[in-house]
Amino acid sequence: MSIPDQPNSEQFLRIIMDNMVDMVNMLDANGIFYFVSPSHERILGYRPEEMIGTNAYEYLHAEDKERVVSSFINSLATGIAHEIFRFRHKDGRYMWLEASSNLIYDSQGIFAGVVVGSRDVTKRKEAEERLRESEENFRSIYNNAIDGIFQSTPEGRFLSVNQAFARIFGYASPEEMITAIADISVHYYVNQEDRKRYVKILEEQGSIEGFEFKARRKDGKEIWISNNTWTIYDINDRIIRFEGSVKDITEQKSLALQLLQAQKMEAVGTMAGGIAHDFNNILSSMIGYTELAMCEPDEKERLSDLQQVLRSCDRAKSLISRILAFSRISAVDRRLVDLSNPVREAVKLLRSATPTTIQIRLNIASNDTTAMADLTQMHQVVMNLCTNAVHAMRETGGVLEVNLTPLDAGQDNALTSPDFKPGPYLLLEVKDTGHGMDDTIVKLIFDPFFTTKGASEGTGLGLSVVFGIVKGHDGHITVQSKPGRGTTFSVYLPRIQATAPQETDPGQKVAGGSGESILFVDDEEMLVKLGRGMLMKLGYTVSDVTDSSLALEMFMEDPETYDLVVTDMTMPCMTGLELVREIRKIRPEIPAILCTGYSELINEEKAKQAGFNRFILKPVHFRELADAVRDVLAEQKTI
Amino acid sequence: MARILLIDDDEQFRMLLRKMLEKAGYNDIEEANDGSMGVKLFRQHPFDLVITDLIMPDKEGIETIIELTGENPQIKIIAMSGGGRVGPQDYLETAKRLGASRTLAKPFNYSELVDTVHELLSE
Repeated sequence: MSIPDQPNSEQFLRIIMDNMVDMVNMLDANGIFYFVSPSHERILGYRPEEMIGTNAYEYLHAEDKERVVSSFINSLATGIAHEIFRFRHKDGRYMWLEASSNLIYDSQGIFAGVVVGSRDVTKRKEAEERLRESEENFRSIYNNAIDGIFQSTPEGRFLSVNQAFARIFGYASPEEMITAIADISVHYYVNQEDRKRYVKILEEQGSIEGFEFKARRKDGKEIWISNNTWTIYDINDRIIRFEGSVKDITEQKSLALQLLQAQKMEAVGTMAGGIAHDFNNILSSMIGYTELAMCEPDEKERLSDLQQVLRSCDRAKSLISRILAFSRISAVDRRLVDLSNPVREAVKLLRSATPTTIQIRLNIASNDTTAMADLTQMHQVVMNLCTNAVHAMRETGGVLEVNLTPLDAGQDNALTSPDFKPGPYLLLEVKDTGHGMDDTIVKLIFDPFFTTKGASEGTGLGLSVVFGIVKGHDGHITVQSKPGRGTTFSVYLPRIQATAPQETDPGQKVAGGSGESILFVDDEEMLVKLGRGMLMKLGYTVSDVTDSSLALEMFMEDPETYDLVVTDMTMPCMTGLELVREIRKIRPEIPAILCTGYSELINEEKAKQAGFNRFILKPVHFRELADAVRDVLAEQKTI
Repeated sequence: MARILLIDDDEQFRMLLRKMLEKAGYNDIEEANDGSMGVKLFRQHPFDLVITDLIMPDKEGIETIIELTGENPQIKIIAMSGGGRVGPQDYLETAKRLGASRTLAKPFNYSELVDTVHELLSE
C-alpha cells in the first residue's frame, strides 16, 4: 500500500475546504466577505465569488440582524461569538445557521475582521419549532378543553387536572382541586366500589372507555361522569399513572330518563284510548240491560237481561286481566289447562271478524295438549298472532292455518336457541299466506312499539307482549318469513303429560252454609251490600260494616259470635291486615279471607304469609266467594 | 215501519240495541258484525236508518259511512263510539263531518238512543 505524497500547506487547505461539510468564511472589519469556502454553494446556493465583496449584514433575516450585530460587538471584548440566526439562501428562503466566530488581527495587532465557521441547523430548528408548536397546541387543548383531562396515580391522587376538570367539579383552579382531593376514592367517588371496579378494569385491560359513575363536586352535589382512561407503565410494566378525560353526563342522564318517561306516557295514552273504547262498550251493555231489566214485567226476560249484565261484568273483569297482562304486573293465574280450548275459542272469535276471502284452517291434536298456562294470556297470544296473520292477508285473501300439536324435542329437532331444553313441548303454529316480511323487519318485530300497521290499526305492542307472555311460560317463539311467501310463527310451550281438570260448570249448584256467622268488612258501601247479599243467599249470617275500626269494636264486644272474617285490604283508619292482626290477638284461630283489587301492597303469597286463609281478587264472583267461604269453614271444622 | 240496519262488532251490544229498539216499536231490524257486511246488506235492501259503531275490525265505521253515503247521499246514519286516542268525541266529530246525521257517545242509555232514533226518523 503506497502513501500519497505529503501536500504543501496551500494544497492541504484546499483539500480541507473542498471536502468540509460545514462552511468557513472571513469578513473584514466592515463585515465584507473576502473569503468564502466552496461549501457555501452546496448549502446556501451562492458560489464563493458571488458572495465575496458583499456585506454579510445584507443576508441576515430582519428579526435577527440586531441580535447578531450585538453579539459581534460583545465578541470584540471576549474574542469569540456563538450565535444561531437565519441567513438568506440564494433562492430567497432563509436557512438556520449556527455560527462561531473568532477575531482576526493584522501583524500590527489591529482588528482586521473575523473568521466564521458555520453549519446548517435548519432541520434541527424546524424540528424544535414543531415540538414547540405541538407543546403549545397541547397546552392550548389542555387548558381550553371542554372535557376534563387528568393524570392520576393508581393509589388515588391527582397529579394534574386541567381547567375544565376543575370547573366541572366547582373548583376555582386545578391546583385547588388537586390539593382538596387527597384520596380520589373517598373525596371524588360517591361509591367507593365504583373506584375499585375502575382500577380493577385498568389493571386487567390497560384502558377503559365510557366508564360511568357518580362523583361528588366541591359543593357536595352528585354528578354523573363518563370517564375514558389509559394506563402508563414503566419499563418493568408497573403502572405509573392513569391518564384520561372525563365528561359531565348528568344532563344526558336526566334527558334519557325523561325520554323513557315520555315513551311510557305515550304507551299509557295509547292504552287509555283502547281501554276507554272497550270499557265504554261494556258499560253500554251494563246500562242498557239493567234499564231493560228494571222495566221488564216478565221474570224470565228480566233474568235473561240480568244474565247479560253479569256477562258484561265478566268481560270487564277479563279486560282488567288483559290490561294487567300488558303492564306485566298482573296476578298471573297459571294452572293446568287444555290449550286446545283457548285456541278454539280465539279462532271462533276470529272467524266472525275475518273477511270471507280468508280461509281459516284449524288443526288441533286430539289429546296431549295440556300445559301449565294462564288462559287469558294464551287467548291473547293466539288472538294477537292470528290478527296479525289476517292483517297480512286482508287485501289479497289467503289461508290462515292454526296448528296445535304435541312435540318431543330431542337433540336433533330442538331449536338452535341456547336456552331451549329438549323435552315435551306443545307447538302452536300460526301460518299465513300473506305478504311476508324481509329480514330487517323480522329482526324488529318483537320490539315494543314496532309496527307495520297504520296509526289507527295497532299500537305495535302486540308482539312484544306475546314475546313477554311466551317467555313468562318458559316457552320459545320463532318466526319464519320471506317477502311474498307468508309468515309462520311457532310458539313452543312446555307440555305437561297430564289431563287438565274440567272447567266447573257455571250452572252447578254452589255450596251454601248453615247459619255460620261472618263479619264482612269493606269501606265501599256498595260492595258491602253486595257481599252481604251473596253470603245471606248462601245461608250465612252476616254482620257488615264499612269502617274497619268499628269492625274491630264489634268483634271485641262479642268475639265468640263470629266464625269467619272477610275483609278488604285498603281501607282508611286500619287496613285489612291490621284489622285481622288485632282480631287474632283475641282469637288467634279465627279464619280470615282477604278480598282485594290489584294492590302493590299485597299478593296471594303475602296474604298467606300474613295469615289469611284465602285471597280473592276483586271483582268477586258469587261462586268464588261461596267456594272460599265454604272451604275455609270446612278446614276450620277439621282442625 | 222504518227499516234499521245495526252495524257493530260487539254481538252482545248488537243484541241490546235490537232489544231496545224493539221495545220502542222498531221491529224491522237487520244486523251486521262489521262494515263490509253492513255495506253488502245495504246494497241488497234499502234501509231508512243505519246505526253503526266506528271502531271495528276489517272495515271500520268511518270507511263504512263514506261508502254508505256514496250509495245513498240521503241515508240517515247514527254513528256510535266508545273511544279513541283522546276520547269518543274525536271519532264522532270525524263521522259527523263525513256524513253521519247524529252521533252517540258510548255509554248511552235507552232514552238517549230511542230519542235520537225517533227524532231522526221524524225529520
